[in-house]
Amino acid sequence: MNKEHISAFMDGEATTEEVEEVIDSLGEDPTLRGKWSRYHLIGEVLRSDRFVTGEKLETLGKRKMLRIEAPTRKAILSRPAIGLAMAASIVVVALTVVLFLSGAPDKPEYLISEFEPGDALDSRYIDPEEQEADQTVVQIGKSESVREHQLNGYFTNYNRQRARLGVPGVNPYVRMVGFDSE
Amino acid sequence: MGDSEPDSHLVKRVQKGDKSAFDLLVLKYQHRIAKLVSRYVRDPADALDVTQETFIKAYRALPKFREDSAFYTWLYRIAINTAKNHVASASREPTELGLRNDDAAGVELEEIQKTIESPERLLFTEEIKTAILDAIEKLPDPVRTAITLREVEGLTYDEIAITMNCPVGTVRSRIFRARESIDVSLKSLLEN
Repeated sequence: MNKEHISAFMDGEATTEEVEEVIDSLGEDPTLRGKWSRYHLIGEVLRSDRFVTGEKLETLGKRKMLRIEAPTRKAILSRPAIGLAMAASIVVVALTVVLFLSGAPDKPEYLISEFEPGDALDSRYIDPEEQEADQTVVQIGKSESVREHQLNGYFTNYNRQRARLGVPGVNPYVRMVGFDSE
Repeated sequence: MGDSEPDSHLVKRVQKGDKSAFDLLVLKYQHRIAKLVSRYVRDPADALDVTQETFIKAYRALPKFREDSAFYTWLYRIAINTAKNHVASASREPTELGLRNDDAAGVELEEIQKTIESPERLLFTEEIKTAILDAIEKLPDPVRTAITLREVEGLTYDEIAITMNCPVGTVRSRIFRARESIDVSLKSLLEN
């Protein structure tokens, strides 16, 4: 029989006719069974030595690396989209770290007041007393109630301004029944 | 076509009563099972006994095997259980082994013993490894690449053909040539 069929059969690549022929031949011929056994032994040794570092395997390893060569750092950076995305990620991370280190634990009020939406509005429409009260409250601490109060302060300012412009505002956490009419 | 397909053909043959097909499964998996067993059973001779016992249990249970899993997965479980049982029983009675020649298993044991190789060869020695790796080094580059992609990377012939940019028939031929060349060295080593 053609011994190439044995090799193909053990790889699951033999045709249906070849399969039957191979099994029959291997059953009848001890010499072929020896070959079958050694063919498998070759595979086992190659797979078992896959992660062993040795002079001979290094050669095989190099060949493998040539085939499935990983993209180099230079290659990655040379792609504009990837490079841009990486740069943006670094900036975001750096900014987050700087913000966190500079103010988050010690001065939460700074961050909150920095992004106080009311600041964007025209200062003429902001009640100075309430603004001062808000800032005072912010200085107290960073508890949930303070944050809520601050947010309500923002909504109050916002709605007051919107009402003066004749545009509906948004509902604050606290009810503002008759706010404008009072 | 995958690696489990030849097993499926052989299992069906065994289930139809072809004992020689089981020999082929033993010859195929004896090294892998011996290596697995040797992780639990340190003594090479005991590892050989446990390997034999694994195949006897598999042979007896094979008529009930419905191929819900791959044959090797099933065989692997038998080997692990047999090895663990051996370790447990050895801690109680160090000389006790699970096999006896005087019962019904005797005939099967004898047959499987004939098929299974010696512990040294089963747990392939450095000498065997060196012979195989030396032989691979001497192969022509395309032949060596083909056998490496097949045996180490587990690629199919189609995948190798694409990788090497050659017809599937060429891949088949190269892999066979590689095995034949290595087999010449291996055979002479094992016979000596």
